[in-house]
Amino acid sequence: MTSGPTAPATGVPWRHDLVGGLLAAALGAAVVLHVRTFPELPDGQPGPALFPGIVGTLLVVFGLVLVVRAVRARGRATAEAAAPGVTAQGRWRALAVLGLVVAYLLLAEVLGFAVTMGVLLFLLMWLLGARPLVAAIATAVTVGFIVLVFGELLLVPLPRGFLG
Amino acid sequence: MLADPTLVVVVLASAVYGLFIGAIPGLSATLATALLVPFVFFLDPLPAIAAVITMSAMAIFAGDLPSALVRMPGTPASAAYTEDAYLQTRAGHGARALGVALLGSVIGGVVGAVVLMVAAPLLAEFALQFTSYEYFWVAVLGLTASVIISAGSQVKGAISLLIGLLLATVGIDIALGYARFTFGSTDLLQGISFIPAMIGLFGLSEVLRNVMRPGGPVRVARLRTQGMFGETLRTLRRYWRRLVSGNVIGSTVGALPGAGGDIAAWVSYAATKNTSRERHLFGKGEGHVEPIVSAGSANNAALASAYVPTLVFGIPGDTITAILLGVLLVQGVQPGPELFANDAPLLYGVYLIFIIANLLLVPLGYLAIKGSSWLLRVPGSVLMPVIVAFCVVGSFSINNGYLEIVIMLALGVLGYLLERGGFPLAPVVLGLVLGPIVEKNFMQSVIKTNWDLTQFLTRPVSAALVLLTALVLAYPLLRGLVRRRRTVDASG
Repeated sequence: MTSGPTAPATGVPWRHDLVGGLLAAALGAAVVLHVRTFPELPDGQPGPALFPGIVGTLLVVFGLVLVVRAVRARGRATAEAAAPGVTAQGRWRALAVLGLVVAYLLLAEVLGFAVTMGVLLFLLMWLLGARPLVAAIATAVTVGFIVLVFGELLLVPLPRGFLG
Repeated sequence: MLADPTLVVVVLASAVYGLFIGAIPGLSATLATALLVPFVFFLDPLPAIAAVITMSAMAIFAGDLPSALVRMPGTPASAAYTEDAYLQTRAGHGARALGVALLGSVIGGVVGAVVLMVAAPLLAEFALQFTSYEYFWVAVLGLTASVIISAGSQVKGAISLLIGLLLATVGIDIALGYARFTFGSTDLLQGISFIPAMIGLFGLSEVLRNVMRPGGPVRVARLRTQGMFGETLRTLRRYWRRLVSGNVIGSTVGALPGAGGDIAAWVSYAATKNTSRERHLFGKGEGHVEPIVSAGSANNAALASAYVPTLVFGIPGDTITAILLGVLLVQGVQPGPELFANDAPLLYGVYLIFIIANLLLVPLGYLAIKGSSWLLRVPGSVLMPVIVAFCVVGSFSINNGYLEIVIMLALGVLGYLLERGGFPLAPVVLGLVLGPIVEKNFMQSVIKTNWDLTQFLTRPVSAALVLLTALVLAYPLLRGLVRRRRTVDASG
C-alpha cells in the first residue's frame, strides 16, 4: 500500500516496525485465545467474544503484514534511519516525568495534594533544568491555582493527607 | 443565552488558553482539548462546546506564530507551511505572513461554520431514517476512512484503530453483561474511562516526547508589524483564488472522519504547489506567501467542518471533536439527527459560537502576534511539569479516583510508544469512541432479526453505505494503480 498523500515520511527504522508488528500480532493472539473462555448467547450464537475475537484476529493479520514489510525493507534501511535518536539524558528525563505520576499515586493519600504535588513539581522542574527560584514560584502558582480552581470552584475532593 | 456571564468568561478564558498552548511548539490543539476537558466537564453542554470551539480556533492560528518566528510549527496543523512562513519572516515579510495566516484563519473558520450550518441540517434530515443497521455502517465507514486517510502507513493506521477498538471492549459487554478484560477489577467494569485515556494519549505522551528531545534556547526572528493589515489585505486580494480553493479543500477534508486540520493543510499545500505558476518559490529562498493563504485558511475551515459528522452522525471528524464527543456522551448529550429535531437552541448556540470565536480571533490574534516573542520564551523545563500536574489532577477530577490516574499513565506511555513507532494516534481515538457504537448496533440488529445478516446488505441506505465503504477501501489501490501508470508514462 502507499503512504499518505500529504504528510512526510515518518522515517521509522525497520527494526521498530518489526518489533511493533510482532507485538501487535502477539497481543492479537493473546486476545483470540482469551475470548474463547467467554460465554456464548443462549442459542449458541457468538456473544461477548465476537467483537474482541474479530479485533484480535485482525491484529494478528496486520501485525504480520507489518513484520513482512519490515523484513523486506531491511535492505534500504540506511535512508530510513533518519529519525533522531533518543539520548540517555532524554530517557532519564522521561523517566522523571513518569516518576512524578507514580510518586503522586503512592504519596498523595498520605501527604495530601498540596504537599505531594508541591514537592514533586519543584523536583521535576529542577531536574529538567529550571532555576530554583523560577521553579519555586511556578510550583507555588500551579499548586495554588489547582487548589483554588479544582478544589474550591469545581469542588473536586483533592486528597488532604495528614493535614486534613 | 449568549449574554450569560459564565459563557462570556468561559469563551475569553479558553481563547487566551488556546493562543498560549497553540503557540508553544510541540503542544497540539488536541493536547489543549484534553487538558481543557476536566474543566468543561463541569459545565453545561453549550459552554462546554463553546470552550472547545473557541480554544481550538485560537490554537490552530497560534500554531503559525512559532512557524514564522522559530521555524517550528506550534501545532501539527501549521507544519505544511512552516518553512515558507519562516523564510518570509527572515526576509522581512513576517508581519505579512502572520497577517495572512490570521485573516486566512478567520475566513476559514467562518466558511467552515457556514458549511456546518448548511450541510448539517440537510444530512440530519437524511439520517433520521437511520436504524441500527445504518448506524453500524456509518460507524464502520468512519473507522475505515480514518485508517485510509491517516498520515503515514495504512497498515499502522489499521493497527492503531484495532488497539482503540480493543480498549473499547474493556468492561461489561452489551449482549450478556459479561465482564471482559477487567482482570477482576470492579472499577474497570465501566470500561476504560474516556477522558483520562485522552489526557494520557495526547497530554502525557506529548510531554514525554518533548522532554526526550529538549530544544536548545530558541532564537526568535524579529518581527515588525507596521502596516501589517494593509499589506495583508492586498496579499489576500491578489491570491483570493487560493483562499477559495483552500477553504473548499479544508471544509471537505475536515468533514471526513479522522482527518483534521493538519491533513487539510497538507492537502491544500500540495494542491497549491501543483497548480501554482510561482511554485519554484515555495519553501526556498525568501519563501512564498501563496501556500500560507491556502493552507493557513484550510486548517481552520477543517476545524469547523469536522463538526458536521460529529453532530449529525456522532462520528467525530477529527481528534478534537472525538474528545468533545466523548465529553458530551458522558454528559448525556447524544449527538445525532434527533439533536437537530429536538434541541435547536443548542445547535444555534453552537453556530453562533463559531462566528463569535472567529471574530474574536481578529483582535486576540493580533495581540498574540504582538506578544509572540514573549510567548515563545516560556521555558519548557517549567511548562512540561505544570502540564503533567494538570494531567494528574484532570484525570483524578473526572471520578475522584486513582484508577483514572493509572489509566492516564498507561495510555500516556502507550501513546508515546505508538507515535515513536510511526503509528498515528487519531485512529486509536476513533476506535475508542466508535467501537461501542459499532458493536452495540451490530448486536442489536442481529439479535432483533435472529442473525439474519442479509439485512445489513439489502436495505437501500445500508447498501449505499456498504458501497461507500468499499470505495473508500479501494481508494488507495486505485491511486496506486494510477501512480504506477503515470510513472510508466513518464519514463516511457
